[in-house]
Amino acid sequence: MIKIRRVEEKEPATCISYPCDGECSMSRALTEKARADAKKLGEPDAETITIQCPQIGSHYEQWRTDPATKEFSVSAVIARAAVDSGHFVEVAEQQVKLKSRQPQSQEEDAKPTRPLA
Amino acid sequence: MPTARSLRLALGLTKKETTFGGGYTTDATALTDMIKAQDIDFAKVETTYRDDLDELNSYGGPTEFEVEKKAGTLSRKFRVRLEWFAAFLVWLLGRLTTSGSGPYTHTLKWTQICTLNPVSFAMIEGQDCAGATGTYFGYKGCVVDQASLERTGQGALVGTVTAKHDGSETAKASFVMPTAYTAGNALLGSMDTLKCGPLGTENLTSILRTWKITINAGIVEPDSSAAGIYVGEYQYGDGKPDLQITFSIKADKSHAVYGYYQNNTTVIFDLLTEKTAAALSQKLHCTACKIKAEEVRQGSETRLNVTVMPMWNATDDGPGVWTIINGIASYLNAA
Repeated sequence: MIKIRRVEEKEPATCISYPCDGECSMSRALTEKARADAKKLGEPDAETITIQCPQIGSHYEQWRTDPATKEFSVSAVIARAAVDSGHFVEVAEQQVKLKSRQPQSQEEDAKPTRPLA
Repeated sequence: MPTARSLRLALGLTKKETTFGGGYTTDATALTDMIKAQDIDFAKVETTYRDDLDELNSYGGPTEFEVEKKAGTLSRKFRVRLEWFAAFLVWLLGRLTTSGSGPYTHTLKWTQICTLNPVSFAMIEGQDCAGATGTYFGYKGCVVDQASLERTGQGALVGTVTAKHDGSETAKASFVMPTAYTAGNALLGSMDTLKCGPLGTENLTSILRTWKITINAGIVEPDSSAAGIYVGEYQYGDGKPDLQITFSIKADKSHAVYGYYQNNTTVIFDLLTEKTAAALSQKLHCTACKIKAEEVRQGSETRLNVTVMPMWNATDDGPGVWTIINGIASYLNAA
């Protein structure tokens, strides 16, 4: 998942189209149909069927956003479309900076404690 | 018997199908829009039959017909309302960003190279007369094949849309047609502003006579039996959707526009039709185009007929970008 944030100066985008990533409404619809068909045939593991649409990227899905929310964690495909629209920017990963000075015990261990014979 | 003039088309202008050919879950809540057509044009179903004429069947003609496949078309010509035409553009191109909280700004970019299938929608057509619910049929798997927009003088913009559907006709006798046509703001020629030139600020509105924009999706049906005899999938044509723009201005070969043609100058094309600033408008902006100009006569007047050739570019991420501002909060809602 990629973190993105709204560009404050622009009006909040409420809907952005993105090329489907195989986990879209068509995949879900295909899965539901497959499960229903399997149940009719009395197959025991009908519930576990999941179908990923083979035509990934073949049509547009919509990502709808709450205008009040400023940051989102989304899939790479959605992040790409959001950033391309100009209404969002990617949030760079904030690394926690450790203190450069090593703890005292480690410094002492680093120094040779007695000269080599 | 109902008259031809009683023909109505119920649409969901802000809706789309979840899966191609899947129709809508509940027609009554999805198909609440109607647009006024200028021509009486019925939805058509094209049926292809397999027959045995090419076999030796002891006769000189076919002895059997079997339905091999069906597909369908629908066309509509209508005086453009801002809210009506936008829906067809959105269905055709699919790549939309909506922002704002009312009025809403819809930025519609060109379909990406990796997108194979257009958005599909459903509709019901019928002759709305007492006792004529037998004429109500639902069409699904509809895709916009071509959308064109044109105007002459100060007249209303006229839109022509052709669509294809999956060939199935589902009886919808219990459907109740919407009682009123969908509200919309009519767009007139007097609302146009045309700028065309290297800077994009060269205003040609005062000499603009006519213009026409056509977007062609070139819809093709792949050979597939996935949906039985009906269409299982529609795809954009190769190199489609494309963009064709022509306009005519009161001008002769001395005009700067003719110089852009002679020198193969790259120009910006910007056509805005604005009823109310920042509230009701639609605009096509093409960042990089070449033009061809031809001097012609119209009565006593000399005109230049200009053909604009948009170039796909990184700024627009396509040949151009539509910006539509209206009161519609969202399009392409799966229903």
